[in-house]
Amino acid sequence: MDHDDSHVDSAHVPPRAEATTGRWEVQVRKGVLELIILLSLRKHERYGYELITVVTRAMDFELTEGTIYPLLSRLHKDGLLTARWVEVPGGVPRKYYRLSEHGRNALAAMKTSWIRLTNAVQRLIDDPCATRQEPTTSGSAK
Amino acid sequence: MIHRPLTGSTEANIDQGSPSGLPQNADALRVWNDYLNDASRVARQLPEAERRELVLELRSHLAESFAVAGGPSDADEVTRVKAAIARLGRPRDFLRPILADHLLEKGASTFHPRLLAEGLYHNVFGGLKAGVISVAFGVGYVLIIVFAAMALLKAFVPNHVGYFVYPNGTRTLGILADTTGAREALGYWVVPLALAAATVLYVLLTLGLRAIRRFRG
Repeated sequence: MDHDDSHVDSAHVPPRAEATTGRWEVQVRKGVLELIILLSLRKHERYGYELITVVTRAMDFELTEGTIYPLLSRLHKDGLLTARWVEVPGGVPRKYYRLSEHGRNALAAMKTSWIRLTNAVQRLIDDPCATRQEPTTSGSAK
Repeated sequence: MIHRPLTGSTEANIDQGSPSGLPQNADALRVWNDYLNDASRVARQLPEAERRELVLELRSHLAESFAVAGGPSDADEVTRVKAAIARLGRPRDFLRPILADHLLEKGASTFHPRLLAEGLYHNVFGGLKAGVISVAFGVGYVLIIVFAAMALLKAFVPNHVGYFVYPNGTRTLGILADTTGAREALGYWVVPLALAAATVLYVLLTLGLRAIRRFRG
């Protein structure tokens, strides 16, 4: 019943439904955060604090603010983002991030796969029998 | 000197206070600097330039977060800095992915087993913590078995089960092979007491496990 294989523990108590969905939700949000960051940088360059404000407002969820920095650092190292320091008159300098050309291409690909994924899930939600009628059963077995 | 640049030392006082969006209050500034020094310490294995830039970025974040928190009352500054810090989170928690990435990358490219081990440690720490908790719970469940065994064995070997007081003042609770010279203080009361202890421990452990499973994310 318990499909959680990411932790080794001795618990034999079956988790409650809300606990399972809560954990699942956290995982999903973590996974989507990268895409949301890239989307938020499509039109504007933004600094970390601003990004967090935009993301939490857009997504309506709380986030330990620091979580965003390892992601920004990874995206920067992978060349999806460029960064520059900007002096703030009478304030502390900000590090602004901007989508690079490579980042734009990556975002386009991520958007396509996100739409394909959500469409597929939506089809399943609308019609639980959809998988049986799907003609694309060949070639994708692991 | 207002903005002393971060030096190689992780103990550098990063900010001395200035009119530029930093806390003015000395206590608030100390909390501020302690936090950034802690972040710097956590990130000490990163390349120097990367670490410095990361700390400066967190400092910039704190300044923004501190500024939007409201009025400039001096007494409030400590609270405001602490609130900004709480929202940002503990460096040793949220910086883990950067450290893991860096150590694994470096370890994998130099075949350095210590770096790899440290990287894996940061990567699996969540699992490791669960492991430690599991062991603690395991010990708890063994204790339950011991209590149950005491209650059961008292009927068969009454002289070896109970609360023993030795002439030299030593006191021992449990199941003992050699009880020469000791006086058993509980008698058959040990049976209900051990059963009660086992039950209470079982209920507590189970509630604890449930709580952990519910809140783990």
